[in-house]
Amino acid sequence: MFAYMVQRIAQGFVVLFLVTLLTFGIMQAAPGDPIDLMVGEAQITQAEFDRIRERWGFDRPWYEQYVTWLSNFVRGDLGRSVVRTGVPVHEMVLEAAWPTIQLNVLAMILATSIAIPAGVLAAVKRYSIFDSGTMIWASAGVALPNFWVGLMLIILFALTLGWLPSFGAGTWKHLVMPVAVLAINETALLTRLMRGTTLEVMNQDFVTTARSKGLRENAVLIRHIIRNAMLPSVTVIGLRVAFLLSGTIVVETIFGYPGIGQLFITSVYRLDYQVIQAVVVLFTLFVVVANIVTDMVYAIIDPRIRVQ
Amino acid sequence: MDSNPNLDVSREGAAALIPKELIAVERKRRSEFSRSWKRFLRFKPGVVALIFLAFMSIVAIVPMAFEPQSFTATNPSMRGEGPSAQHLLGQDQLGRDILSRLIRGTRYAFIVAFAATAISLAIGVPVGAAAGYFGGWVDTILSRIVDTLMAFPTLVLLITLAAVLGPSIQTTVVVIGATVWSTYARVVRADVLSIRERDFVMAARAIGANDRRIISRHVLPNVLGPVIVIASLSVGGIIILEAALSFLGLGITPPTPSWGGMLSDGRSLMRVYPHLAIVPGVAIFITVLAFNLVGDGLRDALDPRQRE
Repeated sequence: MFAYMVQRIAQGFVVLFLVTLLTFGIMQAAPGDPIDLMVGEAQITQAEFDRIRERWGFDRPWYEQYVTWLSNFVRGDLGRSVVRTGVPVHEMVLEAAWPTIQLNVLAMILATSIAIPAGVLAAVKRYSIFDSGTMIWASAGVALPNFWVGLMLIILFALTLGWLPSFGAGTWKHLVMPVAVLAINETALLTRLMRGTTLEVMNQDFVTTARSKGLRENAVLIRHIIRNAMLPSVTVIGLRVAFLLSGTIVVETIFGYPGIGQLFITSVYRLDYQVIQAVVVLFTLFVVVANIVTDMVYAIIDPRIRVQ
Repeated sequence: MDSNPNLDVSREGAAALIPKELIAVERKRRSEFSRSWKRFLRFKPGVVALIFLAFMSIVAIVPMAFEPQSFTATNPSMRGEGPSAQHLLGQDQLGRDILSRLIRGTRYAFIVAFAATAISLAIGVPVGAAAGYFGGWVDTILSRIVDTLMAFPTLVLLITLAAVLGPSIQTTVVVIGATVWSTYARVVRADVLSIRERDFVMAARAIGANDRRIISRHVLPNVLGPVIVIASLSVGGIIILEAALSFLGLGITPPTPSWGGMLSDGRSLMRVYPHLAIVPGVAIFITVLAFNLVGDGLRDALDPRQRE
């Protein structure tokens, strides 16, 4: 178990190193001189241009820039925004992080608290109307483009009915639509998975044993079926972090929600490479950590893995 | 399982005329295919979806045969008009016929979906096969590369690459293809790992087949099923990714009509012309749903292990 964890963490570090290298490489391939973007329309002399170039380190070879950037990054210095002159990137990220965490955690809670009961119930009442309804919803939910659902909700609840604000953050009302939209795909996916695994577990010998020793049906369901059927869901929730973060970008853009996703998109539009680079690496860092934690949680709750 | 009809003694007379090996292969392939096809036909939603997609493919190939109006002709006096007999789905902010633009958009959605899938197959399958078959350091290196790609939230990587390379339909295809292949690599690797240990591979090696022949004749045909299933299930996801990119202005750019781009227009004008945002989303939803249903049907038909 210990060796397994060490190995997983070591792999995580290798992946993170490759991530930083790839991200940095993409940024190097970007067209246009960041100094031009910084200076904008202002007229400057070649001497001033060179001075700025040197100050930001753009005159050095790429590997030196990379090493400097990486070592600063590891120490928590994410550089400064080139476009929004001189604002430290870590300040911008910290400011945007909390709204994004709020949004994603609430969406995940919403998705699991609907999907797990719905999936179990659909499996227990297999071939019933509830089961077909759930499965139709689950197929539809995966195919719904979240940006479109977001627009439809805004037209209905904000523009037509006037119940909810169409953009911004601050009150619980601002969270309702973004959380709902972000949760749709995850709910559909998890419901389907939960139904599938519950059906599988229901046919296992230990369930028959539990029943034949006279346990009440509810006890069989809760203690034997649901507990075992939850295992794959735990893994999937961990692995879905990457997808959730993709969704965050779109959802935050549509609802004008001041999180990391919006920071990322506005930085992309303004070609603010320092911010883009920092956000991309932080996102992947988060995904890698989430995947490792998932593996460990899985190893802890499923004794079969621990033995291997 | 039934006994193999090719071992039937009474067939030996016929087999003497034609090389035995040929008969066996031909017979097996045909029956495999027709059995899978029968299994697919049993899943009715999948069949309906397949018919719908066949129709949509024709629309994508010859959109001009279906467009009731020109998809570029503007009409300033009819801006944002609702549905009428002439314009069944109404007109957009420039007075263009929405239905015709939607039909033309089908072409671009399908081009991106199929071309990107082809690219990801062309990278993912060989990488996965090499990693699984050769193992050792080849596997270690390839697997870390796959892990690295998978650590990026797909949309984040797509947006970054599109921003750096400049949005266009070619960029969209290449960028999506170059990003989503990791799924194929992972699945093919896992399958090849187990196939490589099977007796028929050992037998092929014993009669002196080289690696190339073993991989192409014995290993790859056996991973074809899962690969087809993943491909069909991922086409829908690619359509959503392209729409999201175009929606954010980083995919297919105007004046080329794309579903995501039309949604983007709908978003900026939703206060004035809310109907612009509705139709393209429905088109995306139905098409993605159809691809997913065909994928579900194919999974039941080709990959019995994954059947729910």
